[in-house]
Amino acid sequence: MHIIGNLSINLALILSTYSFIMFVFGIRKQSQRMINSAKGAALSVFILATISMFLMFYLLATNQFQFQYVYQNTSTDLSMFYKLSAMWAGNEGSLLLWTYILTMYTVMVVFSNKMKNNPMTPYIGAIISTNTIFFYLILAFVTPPFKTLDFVPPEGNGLNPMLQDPSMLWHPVAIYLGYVGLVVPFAFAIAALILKNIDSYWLKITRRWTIIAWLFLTLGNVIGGYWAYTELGWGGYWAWDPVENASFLPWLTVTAYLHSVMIQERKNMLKVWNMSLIILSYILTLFGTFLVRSGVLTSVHSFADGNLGTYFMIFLAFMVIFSMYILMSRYQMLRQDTGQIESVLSKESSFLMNNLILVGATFAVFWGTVFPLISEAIRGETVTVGEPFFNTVMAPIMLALMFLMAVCPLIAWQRASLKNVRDNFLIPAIFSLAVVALLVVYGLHGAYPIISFILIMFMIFTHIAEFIRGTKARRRSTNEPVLKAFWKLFTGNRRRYGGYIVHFGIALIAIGVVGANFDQERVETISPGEAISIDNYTITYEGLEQRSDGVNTVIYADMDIEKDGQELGYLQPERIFYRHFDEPSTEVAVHSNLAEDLYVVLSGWEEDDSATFVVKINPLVQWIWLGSFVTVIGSLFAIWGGRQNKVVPRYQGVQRQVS
Amino acid sequence: MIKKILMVFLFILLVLPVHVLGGGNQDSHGEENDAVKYDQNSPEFQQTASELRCLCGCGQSHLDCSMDGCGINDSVLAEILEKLNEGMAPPEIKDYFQDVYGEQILMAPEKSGFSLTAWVTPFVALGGSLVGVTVLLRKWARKSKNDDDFGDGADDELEDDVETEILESIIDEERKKYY
Repeated sequence: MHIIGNLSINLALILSTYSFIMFVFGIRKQSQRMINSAKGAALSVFILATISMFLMFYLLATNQFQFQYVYQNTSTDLSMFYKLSAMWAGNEGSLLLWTYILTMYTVMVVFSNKMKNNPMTPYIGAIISTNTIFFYLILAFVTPPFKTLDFVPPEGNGLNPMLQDPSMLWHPVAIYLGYVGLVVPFAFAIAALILKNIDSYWLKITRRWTIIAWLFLTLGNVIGGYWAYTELGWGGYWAWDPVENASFLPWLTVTAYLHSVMIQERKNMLKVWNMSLIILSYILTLFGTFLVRSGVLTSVHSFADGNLGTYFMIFLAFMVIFSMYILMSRYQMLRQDTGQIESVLSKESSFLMNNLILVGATFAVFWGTVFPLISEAIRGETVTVGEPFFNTVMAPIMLALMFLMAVCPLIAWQRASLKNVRDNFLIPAIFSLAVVALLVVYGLHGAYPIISFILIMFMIFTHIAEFIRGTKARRRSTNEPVLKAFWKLFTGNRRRYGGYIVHFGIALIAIGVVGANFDQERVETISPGEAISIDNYTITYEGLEQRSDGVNTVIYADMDIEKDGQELGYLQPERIFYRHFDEPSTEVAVHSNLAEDLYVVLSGWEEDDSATFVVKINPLVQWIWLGSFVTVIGSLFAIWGGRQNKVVPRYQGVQRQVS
Repeated sequence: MIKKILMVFLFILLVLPVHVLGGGNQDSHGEENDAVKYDQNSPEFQQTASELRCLCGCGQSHLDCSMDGCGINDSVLAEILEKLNEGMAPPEIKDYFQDVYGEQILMAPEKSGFSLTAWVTPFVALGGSLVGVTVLLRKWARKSKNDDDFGDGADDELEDDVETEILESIIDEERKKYY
């Protein structure tokens, strides 16, 4: 087995190197045979990566503990799902998964019908191959996934209890699909620069790729947040941990990019900026991986291992220098034929401001993440940059972003008039102030929450106003019934209205985030029959019970929940004791509705059955998951079906004999 | 006028006093009251614990640390409570822990000395960029032939924009019916 595994890795390394060389020589010699051979090698690498993946899944599923990775990350008592999910529990498996996705994307691009006879294809193939070679070098020499032990242990070490959660089946996969997905637009951008194609073709053809990568990054972050909320037991979903920040950084820059490309498409402006943004997004994915694997910063999510971080640092530096060189060498060319912004008050300028805020947010998160390293290097003293810093710095930046999200959709392209602004914003502004006034009457307090809600409501109402205006305009032309006109309006421009649905989703998420200002917490040690009161809830502790879950032992508390004297049922916060781990894990119990979550953690207990509970009221958390769902729907709506999505942009760039 | 309002609004957002977030700091510095008995649910205790970082490797504050087997959290929480009940104010307790463990015990850098750069730099960078982008936008707008930025007589391009798209989609739907 290990021979097949190691062969699949080493052969793939040789073939990916061969593919890169053939792409480069094929381009130099303009030999289609060489290019075809390179493409064939890329396909073979994908097949080999598939073999490696299946083999690893097989080894994990069948408890082949003679393999170090299987021994370290699984045990016989795990359910099949968790055995298979151990694929991304450690460095070796997760890098294999990363490489597999990379090779799959390579094949999807290189053999795409849209890329037939396109001279960019060999360049793109060569650029992606560079990444593939790097990852196979790591798999072959630094973290070999099929390394065997000198003996066959009867049992494995088991899977880290924190990873034994349904969210962990999807979170890493989604993050990797997003991270690796950004290689594709990056490769297109660099290929366009090398070929001196300065038109918008590369960004039009990669639009779906970029949105899909963004969607997976969004999903990955949200599922990670959900996991933290339900598994870690501290009652939050985002801790501004360096590893969390690492996946948030490219999300911010890709969000900026998805907006600024519209200016290039319409006005042929910001070509250097868009190139820079996509390069930065790609570089940030490498930086994130470096952070996770190097262990330079303390993180609960880190899986640092030996020199792995150093290799990522070297590759990161190489790709930064390479990208900067290519970009700088084409700088003057990109600045030619650029369009103009005609008015300071226009959609173009509002998009520029939106980019400024998003990139500013990226810088703030990056700065906060690396500041401990800077402080240590300059002062020799380590500092912590945690949640209070990020909440303080990011809150005004995010509010500014909310404001721009509210006004951008209703500002006209080219130039807006005073009348235009007044007509479009007056009614939404009045409505948003009225809603927030009502909320204040019902108890909303605090400067930031009030300002936040005004902006969120303003954003929601400006979007609703836009929908109403569009539907009315359509009805004027067609006399269609309202609902039909509304639907046709949406499906007529999926990109625009999909984007607006995403905005709605972000507004709902923002509502949930603002809710964190009103969290309440109580910690109490009580005996059976006693109760904890928090807000208008009464939680009565009825006693501790024990049950078995496979080989694990579960201790849980029966908690009777009442709200305003009304019976709501039972919650059972748990502690799970694993056979392979000394420390138990926490399983929180949550009673949710749209207004708030009642969040109960069983913290500990004594021999007399008295137990300590952490009870929290977390307002509006459900809005975060609801908003995330809406965001996903909006993204899918924007890329799925429709007239716009069927249009394949025509390549009009430099021609070559090879494709 | 409108752009000035927008700029002022953005500026206000960026310089809003940041301590209002989270309902404000409930320090009781200087207020010594022997009768007060603090417990784990006291706001002073929760505030202090949330500002001190647990050094067990969880990366969270002592209030939030839920790492199983953390050998530090319980003792630090007990110490915070003890010091509160001895009459120490939360800032004094923070100072005490900082003297023992250094600045790394704080969940956020101090707002003085070199650590102040952590707080200031993002806003300086953002403010600088805002000025730069504004200057650029004005330069571009000046270069443009039509420099009447806010004239009421300007075409309502947005209306045209939406209606053009609607018209295009209607034509497309009709074309699909026949071809």
